[in-house]
Amino acid sequence: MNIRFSPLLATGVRTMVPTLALFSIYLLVIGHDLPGGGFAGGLVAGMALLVMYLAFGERGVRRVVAIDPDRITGLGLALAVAAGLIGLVVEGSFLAASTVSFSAPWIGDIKISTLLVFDLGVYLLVIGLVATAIIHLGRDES
Amino acid sequence: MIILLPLALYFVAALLIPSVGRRAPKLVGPLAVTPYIIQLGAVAWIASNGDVARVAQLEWVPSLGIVIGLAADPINLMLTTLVAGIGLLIVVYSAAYFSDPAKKARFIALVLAFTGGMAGIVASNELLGLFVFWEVTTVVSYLLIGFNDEDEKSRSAALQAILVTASGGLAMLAGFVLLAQAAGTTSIPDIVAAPPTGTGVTAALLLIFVGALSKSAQVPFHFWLPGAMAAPTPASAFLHSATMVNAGVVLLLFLAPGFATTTVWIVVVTTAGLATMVVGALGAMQQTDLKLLLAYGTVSQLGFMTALIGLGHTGAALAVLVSHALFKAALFLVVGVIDKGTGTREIPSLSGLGRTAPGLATTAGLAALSMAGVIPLLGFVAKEAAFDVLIASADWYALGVIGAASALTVSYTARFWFGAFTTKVGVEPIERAPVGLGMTAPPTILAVLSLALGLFPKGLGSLTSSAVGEVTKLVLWPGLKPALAVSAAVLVAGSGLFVLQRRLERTPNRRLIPQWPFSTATSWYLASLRTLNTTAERTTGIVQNGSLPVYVAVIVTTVVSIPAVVWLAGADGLPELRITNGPAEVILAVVAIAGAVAATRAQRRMAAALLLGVVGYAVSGIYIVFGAPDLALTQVLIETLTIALFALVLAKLPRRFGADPRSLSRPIRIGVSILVGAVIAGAAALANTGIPDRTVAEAYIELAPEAGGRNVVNIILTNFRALDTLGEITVLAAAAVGIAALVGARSRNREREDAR
Repeated sequence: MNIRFSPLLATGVRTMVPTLALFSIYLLVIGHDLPGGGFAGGLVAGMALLVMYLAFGERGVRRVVAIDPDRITGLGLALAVAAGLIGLVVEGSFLAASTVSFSAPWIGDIKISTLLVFDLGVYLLVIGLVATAIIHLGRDES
Repeated sequence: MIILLPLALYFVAALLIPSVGRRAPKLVGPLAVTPYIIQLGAVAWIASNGDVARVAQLEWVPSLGIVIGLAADPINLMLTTLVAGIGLLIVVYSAAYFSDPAKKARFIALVLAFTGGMAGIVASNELLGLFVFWEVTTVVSYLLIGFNDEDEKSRSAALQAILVTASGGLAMLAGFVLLAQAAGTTSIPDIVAAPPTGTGVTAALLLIFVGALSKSAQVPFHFWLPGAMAAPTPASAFLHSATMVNAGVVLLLFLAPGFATTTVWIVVVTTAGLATMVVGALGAMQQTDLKLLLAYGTVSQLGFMTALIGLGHTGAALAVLVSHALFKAALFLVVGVIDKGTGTREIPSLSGLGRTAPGLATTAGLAALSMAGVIPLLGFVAKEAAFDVLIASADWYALGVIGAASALTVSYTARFWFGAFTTKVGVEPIERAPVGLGMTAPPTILAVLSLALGLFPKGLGSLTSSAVGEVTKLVLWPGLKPALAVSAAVLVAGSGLFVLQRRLERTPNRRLIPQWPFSTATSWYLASLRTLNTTAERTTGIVQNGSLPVYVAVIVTTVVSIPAVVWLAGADGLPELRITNGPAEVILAVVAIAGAVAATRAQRRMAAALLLGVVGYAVSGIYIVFGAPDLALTQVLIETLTIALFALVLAKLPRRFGADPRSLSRPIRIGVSILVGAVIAGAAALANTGIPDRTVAEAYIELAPEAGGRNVVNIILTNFRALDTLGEITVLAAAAVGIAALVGARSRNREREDAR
């Protein structure tokens, strides 16, 4: 698609993207207790990429996702599998949830569950997929 | 542990070597020989310790009772020694053979992986474990035969080898399953101790024969082996003397105690073996390429072993196997030295090598004498033992055929040695570059072993006897017995044939030997390959005609009609359906229906996409009404993104819908739509009417906080049904790859065209 640069859109997008990014991380983190989760969070991040694309083209998307979208997809899948393997090793069953808690100075008790690792994998994979789709489907072929 | 560990080491070393080769090429050699030395040490240790556990088991799929079982009985130890010993020499030789460090590391890693597979086969005592190792050798042999992957011929030879041996392997797996069903166990010792009988077992044996005979290049599967000579010579020396092709013979050896007396065994195995022995020897006699000559000779010798096993003479077969492995590996390695030094393996170009390389000629001479069966080499001792049992059991036909084929063997052996080393009239003596000790020592060791074991065969005889469980006498001087007369007659006839063939070849276009046994089999193979390809092409043409509406129609019709049929078949009368719960739903439903109907009427693509979005947003509203914010959130997000992506794609398409001749007619499309709509609406109404059994749902709600959070939907996705989610995101990842590959390939092609 031929995208003409529009200062109005660019300015709007510049203010929108950080908000969208924050919202997407929020959705990822609260997913276990409130509506949200890795999939929805990833889609919101995908929206951020989309508006970047509309405003700045492929270069805009590539500027936000510093690494190759294929690698993000792969990393996401690897994280999800890794969460499963942790379950296999720690709990004796593939994908079984296990939680590690420890206390850090100044911050307090921290609980990290493999559920979050798994969800993070889903999140990254969705971002990678959306980025791939935008870049390839939007590429100007004529 | 002592049985499992060396086996595992091969694979570990194979995985490590490519990266080690890049960083520290000097470490490749020491790392590569370690597993062999450890395995040989382990064999010696087990053999000398009476109280070591003789079996090891690895649970693989416990729920199906599938185990990988390994044994250290005399036959396993003997074959393991052969595989590891020759493997060690091959690795040393390969290190000198390849000069490019990257190629060297890749090759040695493959040899190690292959040795692991082969050592697994010869140590297996469970059918399914054996099958796994069998397939390891099949796959790795593909990589070894096609090692020179820039050469088209070498790739097609590798493909041919894997097609023949892997389809044989599949037949064999089916045979294994049938046999295990009939016997009630997959343990080979248990099966042969109480062999099952019946038609099913006969079928099983026939299927197993297909696997064993194809792996060992027996008629009618013999044609792949000469092609496999495209492999680098060290690979041929290993695969086609001591390992890969022996696998079929080894399997038959394992099964012989239980089944060698059945009719199907005697008839099929013996016939295949005898035919192969003759066909292979005839093939070898007409070769001018030294390596090909040896390859056909291998086919023939494997036929010899197979025929002996078919008649139940397992001891003699094992002795022939050992003697063949030693002399054939030595000869292949000698050919490698000649090829490397002179740049050719063609008999007509080689002249004067006996003078310039007397040591090599002696090594080759010893091995060749063993191949011909001349006293005092091991080949003579083994052949003598075979003749002896054939006479004792009065197998006169077999003796006749084997005797005749042995005469041919003598003839092609003479052709090999004289062809390679003598000085030919009218041919310039060939220049020869020196090769290192790493390449000359291994064949020398093997040749000397052929001589030493021939001079002192008693130890090998007692090993063979305990391996097959029957007395097998191996002696240097058998005394003036009929068997000796047969050996003598074979030598005389073979020498006569050699002289006769030489004379005939002086006159052009006169051939002693027919060509058809190999050319016919190869043309059958090619014809079946062609049939397979055309069938696949035609099927694809019908199933995938390129019209997206057809694909979608097929998919959605299948998806809705199968559950609908199943449900209707099981339901007793239609339940009372509850259609709606309140006015909010009705309003949203009207919006959705209006959007859907308008989308079908839209003339412009973009309008249709937007109208579909209307449907999606209305449905997400219904989710809200039902109290499912997670679903609603996801639906809204997906809907928005989909419209945006549609916009990106539609910008490249014509604005209006066009007529596609391949597509479905309007009535069919309407029919499919109504069917899908009706089934989905029915399912939704059914769900709305009430799920009778809520135990699962309630258990999810109850367990969710304990499982990690209060949002049941998310906990189901990431915990309760995490495997489903993993499957789904794998599909997403595949979709991403698909987009990148399909669309990316298009733009890459375009760039290439632009560049022209």
